[in-house]
Amino acid sequence: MSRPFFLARWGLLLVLAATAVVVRAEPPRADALGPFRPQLQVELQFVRKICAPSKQQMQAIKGDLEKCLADAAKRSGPTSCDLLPPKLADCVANHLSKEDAVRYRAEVIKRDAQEREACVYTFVALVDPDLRLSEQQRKALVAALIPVWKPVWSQMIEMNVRWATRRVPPIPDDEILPLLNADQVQAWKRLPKNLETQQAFDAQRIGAIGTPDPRPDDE
Amino acid sequence: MRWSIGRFGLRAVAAAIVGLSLAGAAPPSGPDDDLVDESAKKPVEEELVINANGNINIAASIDQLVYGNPAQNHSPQERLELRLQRRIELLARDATLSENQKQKLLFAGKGDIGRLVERVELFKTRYQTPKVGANGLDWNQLSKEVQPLAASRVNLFANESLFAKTLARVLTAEQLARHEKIERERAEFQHRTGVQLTVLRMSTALGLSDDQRRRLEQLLLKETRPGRSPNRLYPTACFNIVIVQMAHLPAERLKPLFEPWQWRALERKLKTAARFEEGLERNGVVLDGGKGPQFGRPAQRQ
Repeated sequence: MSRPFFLARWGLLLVLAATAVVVRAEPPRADALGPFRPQLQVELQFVRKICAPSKQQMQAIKGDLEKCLADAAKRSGPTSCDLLPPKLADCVANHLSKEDAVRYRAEVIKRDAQEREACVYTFVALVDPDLRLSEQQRKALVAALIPVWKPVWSQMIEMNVRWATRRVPPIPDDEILPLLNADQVQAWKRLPKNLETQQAFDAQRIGAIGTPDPRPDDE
Repeated sequence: MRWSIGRFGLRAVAAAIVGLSLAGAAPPSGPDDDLVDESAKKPVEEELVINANGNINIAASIDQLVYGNPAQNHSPQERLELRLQRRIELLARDATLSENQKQKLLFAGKGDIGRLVERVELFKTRYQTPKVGANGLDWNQLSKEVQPLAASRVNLFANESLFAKTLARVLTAEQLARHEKIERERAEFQHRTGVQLTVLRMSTALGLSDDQRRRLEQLLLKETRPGRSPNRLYPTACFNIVIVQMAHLPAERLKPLFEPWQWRALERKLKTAARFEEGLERNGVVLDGGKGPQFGRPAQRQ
């Protein structure tokens, strides 16, 4: 077999493998929102339940959300776990009456609080088998972590649940060590930490079950 | 120009499989990962182990199907022994075991490991005949035949194992009571976590209000039970345990909590969630107490 044919065959194999990597890592983007499309549905359903906006309001809200999420997809707007969710809340509240906007923002705060609490519980449940916490320690950890919990830690926890992985948020020793005994301190230090603290908001965090049904339901 | 399509095709498939595995597989699990998110589970084609020459390594693929992802520097038997030692260490911490009790448990657990490894090696011999090549092998059939062995690995130290029988025999009543209390409290915390995660996921899927979330949380805490597993229970499994039970709740208990449009979406979600049940059962998860309906179906005899 001649050298050009040999090179062509192996070159083709390499291209095939590389294409598979790209295809799997980044699914083709059907629209400008790309991976953020489910988040649009999340926000539209939420405001539908809380304020029941008119058709016109919903169209304006949808337009603004799409623009914001498209900017995030292009990385020309806020993308981080800290900045994107408040920006989305603004996109919605700007098109509501003053009264509705107040009610909507109050519900957003409660939604964030529930997410934070669920993620703190999940964090404690995740490390518990390694640290062998007592019932009192579990409760103390939940109480101590809720006030200092960061939005990016929630994403780390949700991705752990989504992919059944176990890299824990890098919670500062000051917050956690005072509640542990000497053996548990050593066990905590051995646990794999997720040190990527500057993460973009990842719409996959809500998993298949948490993703709204894309089918329209106008009844 | 003539291309040898057969060999080339096989290499191309192998290259694509390797590429897909590298890009899409969940990050490697820890040595005692026994429960994984079923929705993240890889298809059998991605469990294949490919040799450097592009051929499929059948024995290594069977190991992967039974024991899970290989750990660096440890054979499957060594990994299982590490898991056993870890389990005994944790038990010793909870129930304050004596050195003699620990040795008896170690001996019994090693017996269970030896029996499993022997069964797996025997199974491999069925696939070592010259007739069985990568092209002539039905991988889906193999993965089905391997399932009882994988289940044995998951339940290695549970139920009828030497380890479980020895544990029941060597622990004093006081140690048993202390251990049971600790495990019950842990299971209740895990259950609360599963409920919170379920409410969180329903919240994004359906756009729940705060009032709806609270009512759903109360309902789930009341109407669902904690799960117990012979192995470590990860939060993914805690979530699956609750949502599978939720899928079996009578509609009249759930429906009043939701708007009609949310309810229609929820019904579709719960049909999807029911598929987690098989994974829980395969991983030896039972509902607390082991009596009464298991995930909505009549209880099996324990």
